[in-house]
Amino acid sequence: MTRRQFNRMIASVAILCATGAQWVAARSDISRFMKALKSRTFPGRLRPLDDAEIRKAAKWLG
Amino acid sequence: MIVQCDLCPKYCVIKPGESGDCRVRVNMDGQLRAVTYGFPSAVHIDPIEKKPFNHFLPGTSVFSIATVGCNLHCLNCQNWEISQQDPEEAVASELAPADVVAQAKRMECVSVAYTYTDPSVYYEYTLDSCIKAREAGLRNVLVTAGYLNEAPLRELCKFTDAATIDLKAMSDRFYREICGATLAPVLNYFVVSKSLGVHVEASNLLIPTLNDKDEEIEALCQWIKENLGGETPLHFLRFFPYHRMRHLPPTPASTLAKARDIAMSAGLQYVYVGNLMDADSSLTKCPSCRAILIRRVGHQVLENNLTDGSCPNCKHKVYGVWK
Repeated sequence: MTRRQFNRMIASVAILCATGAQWVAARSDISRFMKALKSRTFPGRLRPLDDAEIRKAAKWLG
Repeated sequence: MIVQCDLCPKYCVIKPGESGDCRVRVNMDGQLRAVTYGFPSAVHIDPIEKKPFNHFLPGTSVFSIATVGCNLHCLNCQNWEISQQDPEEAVASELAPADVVAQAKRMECVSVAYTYTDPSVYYEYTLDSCIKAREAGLRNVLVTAGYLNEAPLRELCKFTDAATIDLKAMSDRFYREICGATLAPVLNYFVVSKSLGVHVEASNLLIPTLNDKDEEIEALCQWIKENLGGETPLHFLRFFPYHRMRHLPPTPASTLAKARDIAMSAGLQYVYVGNLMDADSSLTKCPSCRAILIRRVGHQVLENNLTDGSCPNCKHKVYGVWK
């Protein structure tokens, strides 16, 4: 095996590992997301609504 | 089971566990579900002039809500932090439609605005809140890009008092390339909502080099005049470099002034400039005798001389909802 072939093999394995990890992470995200939806809760984070928050004019337009 | 969402002209085909283009309408075991229902990510009190509305209850406060998600993906979006956010990454507060009304009344607001992102994508939440708000004697206003199918729009209009609709350009190419949408449904939104008795105001964000040519502005004004009437208020808004369009400069004040001149020459009676402190272009003048009817600075009303919605000088009836 030449040095170039060895480098290519290492690069391919690294790409495969990264893709696999990304796939697993994406699946686990979706399952967490779906679990939240099925239990009829908001999938994101919730914050309490206080008067100071409501009274302030929004930084967003329109 | 795969489902198709027929709320907006995108008609997304959604696989189980996935969401539509708007990010917030999800296929959950074969059922389409709006996941942000009852969970706004923005709840604030704004002056109605900020929406922008200059002919709808001037000087009043509006209880404004928005959830994350949008069915457009404008490269220049000024609210991209919430409009282009996934619900699972969002921070939201729990606020059922009845709570929206209760909070609005508690804060002494006379209307509720569905705004910031686009009420089209949190349609069910908007509709239910509109119904509750109307029962409680509050007005409902939509701030929207107008990308919604006609059937749901007609239903929503039954409970809507006013809409400020953003006409981004008079070019289908602009809509496709910059916003990921199409022009025709937006034009239809204008016509349908106006025909159903909703108070309509139009806005147009002028982006340097993209939609600020004289001919384009003229075409936009002509379309408004011919299809909605010359009395329809039009707001030219100043662009600021945000989101994925940071390489362009803010709209020069001269471009906004030029656009206003073109609109007035085209026969539009009420033309304003927004996102820019300019005393003259924020005045409401009587189209008949040119008397100053409403004087504003920024989003604040300094003077309102209207008498029962008419000019005190010549009695000309001014288009709008004034009480």
